[in-house]
Amino acid sequence: MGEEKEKVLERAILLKRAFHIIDLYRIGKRLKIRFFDQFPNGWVIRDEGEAALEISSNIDDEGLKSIFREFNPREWAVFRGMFYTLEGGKLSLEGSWKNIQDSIQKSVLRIGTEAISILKTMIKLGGSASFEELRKTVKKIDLQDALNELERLGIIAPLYKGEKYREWQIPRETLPILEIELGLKSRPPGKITEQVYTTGEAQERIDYVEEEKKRVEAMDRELDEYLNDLLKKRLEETIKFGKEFGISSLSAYLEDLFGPLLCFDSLLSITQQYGLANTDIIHERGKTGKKTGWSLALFGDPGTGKSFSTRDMILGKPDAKIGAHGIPGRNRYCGGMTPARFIRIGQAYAGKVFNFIVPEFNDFFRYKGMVEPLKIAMEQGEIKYETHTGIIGPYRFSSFFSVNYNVSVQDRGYLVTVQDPNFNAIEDRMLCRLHRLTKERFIEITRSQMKLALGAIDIEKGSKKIRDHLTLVYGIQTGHFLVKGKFQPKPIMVTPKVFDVVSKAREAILGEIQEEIVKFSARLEDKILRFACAASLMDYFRSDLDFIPVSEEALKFAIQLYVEEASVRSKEAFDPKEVLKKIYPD
Amino acid sequence: MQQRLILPYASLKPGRDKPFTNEMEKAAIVCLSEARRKKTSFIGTPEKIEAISKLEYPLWLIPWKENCIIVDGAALCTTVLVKEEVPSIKSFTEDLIKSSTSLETFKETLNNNIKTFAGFASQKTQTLNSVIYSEHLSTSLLSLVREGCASECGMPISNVDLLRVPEGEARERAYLYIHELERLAEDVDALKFALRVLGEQTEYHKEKIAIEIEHIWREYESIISEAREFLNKKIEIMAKEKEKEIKKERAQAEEKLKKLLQEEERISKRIKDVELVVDGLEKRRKEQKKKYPKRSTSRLDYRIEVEKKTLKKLVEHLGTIKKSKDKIKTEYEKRIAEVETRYLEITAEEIKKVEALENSRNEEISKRRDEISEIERKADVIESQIKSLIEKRNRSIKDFEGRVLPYKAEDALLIEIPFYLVIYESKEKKRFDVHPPVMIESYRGIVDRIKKALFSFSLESRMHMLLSPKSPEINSLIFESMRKSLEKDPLFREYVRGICEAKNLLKMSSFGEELRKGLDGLEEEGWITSKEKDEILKLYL
Repeated sequence: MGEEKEKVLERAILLKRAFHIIDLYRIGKRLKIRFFDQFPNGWVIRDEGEAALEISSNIDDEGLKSIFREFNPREWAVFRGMFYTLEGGKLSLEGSWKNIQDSIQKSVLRIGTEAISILKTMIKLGGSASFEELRKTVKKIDLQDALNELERLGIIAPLYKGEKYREWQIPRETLPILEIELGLKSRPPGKITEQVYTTGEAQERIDYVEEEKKRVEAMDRELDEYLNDLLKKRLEETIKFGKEFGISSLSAYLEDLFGPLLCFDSLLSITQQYGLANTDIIHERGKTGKKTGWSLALFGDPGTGKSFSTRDMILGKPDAKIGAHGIPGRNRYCGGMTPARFIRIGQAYAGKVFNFIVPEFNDFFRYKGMVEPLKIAMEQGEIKYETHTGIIGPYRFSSFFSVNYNVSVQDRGYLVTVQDPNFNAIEDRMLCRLHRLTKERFIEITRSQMKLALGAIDIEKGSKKIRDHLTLVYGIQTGHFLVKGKFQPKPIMVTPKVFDVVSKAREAILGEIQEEIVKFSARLEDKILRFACAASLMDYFRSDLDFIPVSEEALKFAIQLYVEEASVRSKEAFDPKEVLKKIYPD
Repeated sequence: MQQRLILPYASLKPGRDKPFTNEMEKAAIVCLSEARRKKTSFIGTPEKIEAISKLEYPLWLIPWKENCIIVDGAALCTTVLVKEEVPSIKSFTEDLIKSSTSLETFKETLNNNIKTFAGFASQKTQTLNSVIYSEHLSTSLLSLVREGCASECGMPISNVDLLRVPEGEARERAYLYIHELERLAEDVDALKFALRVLGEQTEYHKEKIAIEIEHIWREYESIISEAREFLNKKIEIMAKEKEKEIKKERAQAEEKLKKLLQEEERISKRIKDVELVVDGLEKRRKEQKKKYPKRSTSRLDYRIEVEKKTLKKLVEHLGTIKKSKDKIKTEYEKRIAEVETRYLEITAEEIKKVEALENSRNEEISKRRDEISEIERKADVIESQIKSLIEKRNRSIKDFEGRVLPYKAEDALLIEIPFYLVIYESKEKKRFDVHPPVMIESYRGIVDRIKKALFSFSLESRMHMLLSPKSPEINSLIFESMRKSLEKDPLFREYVRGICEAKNLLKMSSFGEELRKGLDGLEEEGWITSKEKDEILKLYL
């Protein structure tokens, strides 16, 4: 590229930096550049870069000088190019690259070679980086001081300054000289690349989807390795365990650990893990079209152990000696994640069945316009979301959630702390469980905490057996290549008895509600049915049939859930115990 | 050649089947003028009619897009616009762009501009000379224009009556109107630009805060994880210390108990021995009594008593030992419980420290989320204000567009609206009367309705029945302005008088013949009597 062409490009960046779009339009009109005739006014120009380039192509240095004389440039704009310099609103036809070269030398003298590391990291990251990103590579020195010095020397400029989060950038016009000075490019000084001066603004951004795809691959590997180890070392033992195991024994195990109140939460989250196999649910005449997967929501007062059940019990917490109970490599923890990021990374999970663990789910709804895509995610629909930087998707979301969120619990029922009216619809798409901080619960929680802290509970031992069983069943039911052919996947059979009991429960519940309006939807029955089916997967090794019938015990737990959930949704219009007595008199 | 559109003076009302001739038109105007002429007066001398002229009022139609801007060729009408200035979009958007590097500055910018767009920045008036800005006029004029016929008139344009604004000037004046309209449209674009920049910057900062939240989360995760690890190690150490303490307590208690047990054993043995002695003595005493009934057993009795006392003391001592044992056990249990409680409390304190870290993390995150809500809320306020200004501007644009003539012309077009001007003269002054274009009533319609009463109306009233105004809007906007100018502006009056003199019907050679024919026509239709006709002919011929 010839020098004149380089100058044209540099002038374009300078003009764009120095002038507001409306000024660029006025300059264009003043210079009678035809490009500007297509616009009725400057406000409708969408591409400032293009406008600046048009002007730049139509002027020389004299023209540039007269523009800066006639139109006031931005006082705050700084430009340090190869041919031009702008500082304090004053244009100089002298370049700044010599100064930049000197500044780099000075920075090495003052900061040491770490200055080079900082700049190289920034270039590697596309010209900008956060403190945190730089900290990963620059560890020896006081990074903040070094950044301040580089900023003072004019080599870098602040890009964003939050209270705790900061970003710096290398100005685009100085990037080429830095690349040359740092030995990243062999081009002789004085030459800049066209690529740097493209008029588009798009900077190289971190590709979150690609990163997430790598994470998915790693999670797949985690599952494969775990299952392989299980098959080699613990298969017999796991099958033996499976012949005795079921939802009742799981409940007994958990009750023994946490007491009768707390155990139910973990029972739900572990059962949900079984459901992730997304096994077909059939009835005597064929398919129902339903599968065992469902989303779980634990809600209630803060400090009622919701996160413990959805996160710690599933992912494990080695420092607290809590073993993981969840399927290895199938749970994506979303702590601190923004919903926009979630929608973005969701693309990496299109068509896959994973479980997203979202603590503080209410926070997702504090972001404008997030309810709709989240609703679609719950319905496993096609997500398409428009951001100011582009469009995400469309992609089909096929995973599930286990979430917890805080609500203010009243004497009767609860108040959701999420303000969005659509939230009810989302709530309707999950199996919900209310946590009220009663004295009894409080005592159980503190006792468990203390026991855990003192090492009086050893969850690791029990968790291993359950996790092995869960993973093996999951592997079989999803047709994992390591078990395919060795074990046969079995559908879950809903017997007429199941429908009879559910009908009986429905009648008993409706009989207790005096009002005409029912405050829970028919989806509740669908969810408890899925729960019963997921729980019945625990019986895989107990059944010799080529299907797994919904077990009596699973059905009993499901009915209990149904009645209790209906009671909560109806603002506790009836006592669940009374209704359960009617359904199961003995 | 200049395109001109000459409109008819008189149009026939629907239902009128007979033509209304030019002679009848002139005769009707003469009748009306005569009827309006002041004959006698207490305060002044009678008037005479100096001139009756048929003139044309010029209106320029300057094409703009598919419409025309109406410019008053006689330069009598003016339009006063109220111009509202929108707040500086450049300054607002510059502040937003400038603040993209700092959340604090961005929040400051939002605060500083929270009321900027609550209304227009300023208001001023602008007079647009000759530009006619009336929605009603454009509707009326459109129907008139459709009646007229465009022609390339051979007559030079300078001959058009009252034309005081040449085409070039008319275009310039129309441009001011168009410019104003463009200014309004530009304001809308500018406001939309402000909305876009505000939206982009708000999203940008929200995204950055979201990244900050993730950063805080990660930062705390590692601290909390470290704290937990430390806690667990501490708990482990404390558990060992506790075990040591318990072991020590147990050893001490066991030592004490051991001694007591030995003593207990010794005493128990002694008790057994003494019991055996007592049993032996009692046995001997019994045998002695049996064998030697009269021999005294005092010595034996005394010894039994002494041994029993010893036994009693030993039993009491044994009781004391048991009590001591119980006491040691209770004390031991109490100490153990104390140790347990102390360690539980220490553990709980340590757990609280981790919880405090979690709470601190949650607080920090919550603060950032509040910041998101705050900037969203403030941006929403500004956004709705801007939208309201856009709405107002769009209404103004619609209003402006509604006032142009929806008539497509290739080039500037001169419309000539005919009217009659009558000059009355008395000794004191000259008086001008204007007769704008009319609709001609159907003779049959009126006569059928008020046949018998018709002639009870004055001549003026009958002429008004015959000649009803064609367009009240044109009358009120154009001819009313003209009347006012004739009244107030002597120069204009003189200018009009000159034109009127030159086209005075009364001085035209054909006037007599035309008047006679016209009056005959009016008499035939029954609008005037034979007597009235004769009187007018007598006066004007």
